Amino acid sequence: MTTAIQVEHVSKRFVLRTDRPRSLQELVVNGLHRSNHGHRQAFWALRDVSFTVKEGEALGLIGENGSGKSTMLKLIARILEPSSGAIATHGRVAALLELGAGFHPDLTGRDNIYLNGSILGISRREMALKFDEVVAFAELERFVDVPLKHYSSGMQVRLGFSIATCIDPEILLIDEVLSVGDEAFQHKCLDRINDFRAQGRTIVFVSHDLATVNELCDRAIWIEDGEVKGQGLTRRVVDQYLISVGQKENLQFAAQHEREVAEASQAEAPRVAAASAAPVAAEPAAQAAPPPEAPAPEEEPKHWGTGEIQITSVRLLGPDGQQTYLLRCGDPLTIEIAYTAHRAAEDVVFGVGIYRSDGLFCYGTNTDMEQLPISLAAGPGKALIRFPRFGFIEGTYSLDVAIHTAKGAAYDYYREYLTFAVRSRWQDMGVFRPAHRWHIGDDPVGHSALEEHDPAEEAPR
Amino acid sequence: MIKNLRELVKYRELIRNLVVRDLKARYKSSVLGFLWSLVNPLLMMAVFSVVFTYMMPSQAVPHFPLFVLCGILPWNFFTASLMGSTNSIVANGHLIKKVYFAREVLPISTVLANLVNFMLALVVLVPMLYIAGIGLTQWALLLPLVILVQVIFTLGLALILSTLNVFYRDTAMIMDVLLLAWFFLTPVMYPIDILPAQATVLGWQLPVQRLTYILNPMASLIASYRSILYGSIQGGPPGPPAFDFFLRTTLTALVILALGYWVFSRHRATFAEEV
Repeated sequence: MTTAIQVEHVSKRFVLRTDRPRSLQELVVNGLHRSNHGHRQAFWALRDVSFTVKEGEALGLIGENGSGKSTMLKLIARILEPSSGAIATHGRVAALLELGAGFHPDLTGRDNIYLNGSILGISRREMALKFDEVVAFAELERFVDVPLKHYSSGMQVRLGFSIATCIDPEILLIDEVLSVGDEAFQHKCLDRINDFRAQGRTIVFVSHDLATVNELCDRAIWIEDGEVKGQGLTRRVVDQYLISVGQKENLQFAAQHEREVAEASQAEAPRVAAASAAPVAAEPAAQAAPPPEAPAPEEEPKHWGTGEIQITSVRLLGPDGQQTYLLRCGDPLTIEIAYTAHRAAEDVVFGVGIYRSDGLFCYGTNTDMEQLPISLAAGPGKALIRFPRFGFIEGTYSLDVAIHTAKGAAYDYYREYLTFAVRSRWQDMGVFRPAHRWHIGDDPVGHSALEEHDPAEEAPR
Repeated sequence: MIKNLRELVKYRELIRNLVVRDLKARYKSSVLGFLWSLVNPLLMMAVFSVVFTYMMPSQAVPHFPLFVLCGILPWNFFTASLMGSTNSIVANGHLIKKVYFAREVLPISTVLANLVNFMLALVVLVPMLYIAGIGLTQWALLLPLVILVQVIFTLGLALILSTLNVFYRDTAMIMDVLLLAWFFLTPVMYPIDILPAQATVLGWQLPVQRLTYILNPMASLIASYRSILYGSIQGGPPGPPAFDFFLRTTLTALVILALGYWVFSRHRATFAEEV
């Protein structure tokens, strides 16, 4: 196979000139001082990036926002020029960075097809041959001679995609354009891109949609802060990337949680002090759930209770026993509730509740429901709840933690004590992923949630 | 540079389509449509006729409205081209950032779209020349040559200004004033002969008339249009343009175009970052 795209030691430097003179006046005023002040700030969008794409290969570029992957695509498309290094492409390049570039609202669909085509380098003769196909694919037969301003935005996008892909590019560069248009058209676009693949054309695809990258690309390159962090088989690179993103998110969640705790402890300080000073006197008031300090009446309080037993910290412990905010679907999980009882209590219930980020109540349990009578001596202690296999599907969840009486009067109750995320290798749906395995005929096939994480599966062997 | 030029040839169809887009968009949803290109000079002629026949009668120059029209049509082509092309890169920033194509297509197509308009206006000028009894002589055959030189000169400036405007947006602002000053420095509304041959400026003896010809290519161009279409202000028939000046202007125009293309080529790679 021959090389379609060769990227050799490419770096791209942008100069950020925050207070760079934008006008002649400023130029005159600043001109004399310019050399003294560091107005120019160099920013390396890409640093020494090298890779090759073989003919017929589909390459995915993944990375966070601002990682440089779109810059890379623009360099390949020649929109930008590299600061150093070289890029060679072999074959006709079509870049789908923007659909309908140069569309003019006053011109008819027909005029715009030819205009947009010529911007993309398609000759009039070539376009005339493809014209009907373009219109048919965009499903705009009835509107060809209507000025573009009367098109809906969806129609314009359809037309743009249809024009951009009607030519037979040898190399197709795609940047997130599929995220527009309705579902049905998106499928159509994906089908067309798959057709291109089947025809052995070279594709470079930039996307946040890792599922699509996984599906579409043979190989992936993960770019972070302008450098190649990993390249190879798509699945492996995507996994690497997810793990790294997970670690970052973990840190973010931790920071967020610490901030919230700090804010909460400031707000709660007077009440907790009062509660611990007169624990018995506070008891009758315990029936009234919302504390008087509730910040705004319409807002649901996030924390209430008498404080006779106080939750001092709640931690999620991952498979390695370390605190975490990011779990992998199917990993073991322990929720650790540390508390301080200001007096001995007989009628104590520990409870947890898990909510999905959209508010769906996913799971809740407490020691009373599970008929575990608990009495506590005064003093600090820890309650743990262990999940050997925490099988929630990918998403962001929040955790409620409570200590209350069997009747429900709260000693200490936290709504959304912390937020955590679950990452999953699978794109399954619903809420929970029960352990399972597929069997076709008599043979077990495919992956299984049990393979990696559940020791119970390995035990019978 | 050669590579760039070859690429430009590849994009000739885009230039064509952009010119068509400009023209179509300009007259879309107007009742007269492209007829405006014809009506416009007619109306101008009417205004000049009223003003210069009744309000400010000018005995010195015969057919004064026609005299003015011969100058103002090329001048309008010049200013409209420059104003349009100065903004052409910046105004199409969304395209520059998202699509690769030969960037010089933008100022070029702006100038060419204005050229089409200018040609339509010239079509109107011809019957008026006949009505005035001047008609067309063999010298009118030189018209394409004069137009070509003007296009070359305008293109060169357009390339420089459109580049400059990417980096300093004030270019477009200052062009308003500069073009106004240039308008009065160019013998559009007056015959160049009324300029004093010599004048003393700050103690310097300056040959004003000669300097105008030498330093201002537009003066020489408009004088050429006048000689081949209108004739002399003494009422003489159309004749050849002043060849020494015209030759110099041609050279200037070519130099400006080469310079403009060089400036543009040097900076076009950074347009996508700067617009």
